[in-house]
Amino acid sequence: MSSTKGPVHFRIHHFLGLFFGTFAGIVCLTGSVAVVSHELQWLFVPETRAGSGMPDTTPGERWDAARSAYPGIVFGGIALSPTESGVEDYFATVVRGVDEGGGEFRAYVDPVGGRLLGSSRGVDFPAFMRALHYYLFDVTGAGFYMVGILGPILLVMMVTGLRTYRGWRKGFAKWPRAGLKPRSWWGSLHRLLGVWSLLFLPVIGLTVVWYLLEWDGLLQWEDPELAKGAAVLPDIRAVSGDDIDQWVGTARNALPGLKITNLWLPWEEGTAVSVSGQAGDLLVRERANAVEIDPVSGEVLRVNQVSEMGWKQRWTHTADPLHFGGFAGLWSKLVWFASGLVLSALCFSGVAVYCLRVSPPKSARP
Amino acid sequence: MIRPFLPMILPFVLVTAFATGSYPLWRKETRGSAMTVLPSIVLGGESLVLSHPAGRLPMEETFAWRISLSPESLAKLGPLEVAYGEGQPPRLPATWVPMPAGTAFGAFRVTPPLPDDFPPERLRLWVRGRNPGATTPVSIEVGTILKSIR
Repeated sequence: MSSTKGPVHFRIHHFLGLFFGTFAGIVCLTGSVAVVSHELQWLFVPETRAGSGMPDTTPGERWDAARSAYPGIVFGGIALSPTESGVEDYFATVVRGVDEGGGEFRAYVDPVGGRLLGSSRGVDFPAFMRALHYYLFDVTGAGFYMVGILGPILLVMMVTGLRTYRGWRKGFAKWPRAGLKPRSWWGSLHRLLGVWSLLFLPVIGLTVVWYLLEWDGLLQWEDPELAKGAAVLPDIRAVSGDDIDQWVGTARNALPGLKITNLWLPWEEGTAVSVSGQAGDLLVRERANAVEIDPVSGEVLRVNQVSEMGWKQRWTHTADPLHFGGFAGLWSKLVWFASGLVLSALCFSGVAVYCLRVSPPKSARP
Repeated sequence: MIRPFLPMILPFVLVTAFATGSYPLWRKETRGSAMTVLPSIVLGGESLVLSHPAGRLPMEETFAWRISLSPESLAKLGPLEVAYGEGQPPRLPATWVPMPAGTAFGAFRVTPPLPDDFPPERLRLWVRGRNPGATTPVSIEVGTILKSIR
């Protein structure tokens, strides 16, 4: 490896780029794809598409359609929107459950007409991309740290890169010129991508740092424990569409203005039915606003409302929308997708600069 | 020639190998298990079907019995309980484990404790319900079935 000379910030930038550049580029690329993974699935999997027109079925009717079609499945939740914002009306409703072997099961129901569209088991494409980007499929937690460490590294590289590129303020319109030698051309591209990534990289880097601190328990600003002591359903399979609609109505009465995205049945004894969604708050994930309902009595046990949260709890629910970019539906996702591609290209162009730097000149090659 | 590129190549190769190696275990957790289904048994006039993850033994952590019955049958029998035993139903109340039916995950799955002196050939799984007419336990032989897995 050739020795690197220059100011300390350049050497730091070079060192980190050398060891983490390729890996960071891959993680940024997988994240970019993950942002639009639901839409990509929509393109290639017809069962996930809603029909055109306004939904004319209740969540309970869609629930019953899934139950009738798959009697061996234990259904535990219904997603009226599979994404955070809940504004996309082109997705089919997903009724989630567990199959006979304990694996994940999804039934897709068209909200327009209530027709059963199909089903899938195990992993779907969004889950695949999320697991790959988030923690490299590793269930032990080591993968999460491997990915998470890139957050602070990218922030350091941003700072050292700006210190190295003195005229960066004028670099937004400096496109690589034709006719440059390859190393100079790639270097010029790397600088251009670097300054444009300033609009996005701090958001990604800081949210990843937050995730690391939150995972380690160093910062725990999550909501208080969920309501406990709810009555236990005698048979979860007996939950009908009428029950679902009743809980939906209860939630809307308890939290007016709630645009429901998810309803979950109790996942362990003592937990309640959870109905969550968006309530007009800026940049919060869908579970921030939630109503917990006793599954037997129908009594509202707890209401979590963003408008009543302190800034710490509010931030906990804001990090995801900032990192994922789905807070305004498809348009914000496309901006995040493009920005993620810029980050990926930034990493790979840096790798290219190094490769060209250490490659022997053409005249020296045999 | 390749040496200058090693600091970039090696992390990429290691991470790819790590993700590739982790994938099967992650996929298995979401996919579930193939189940071995046993002959049905009758409790209180209602039919129950027992199954377990194929190829696994009761002492393994991932093993659990799954009891399938209709919602109408469950309403008639009441909450079910299971226990391991031999020729006679176990007498100790602590031996009986309730089968969860009211939760979204793990419902209708139960893992009763194995007896200390695990008798493979004579082991039976006993099932009873809490409602009248279902309190007399019924059992199914599991010892020889499980022995065939080994």
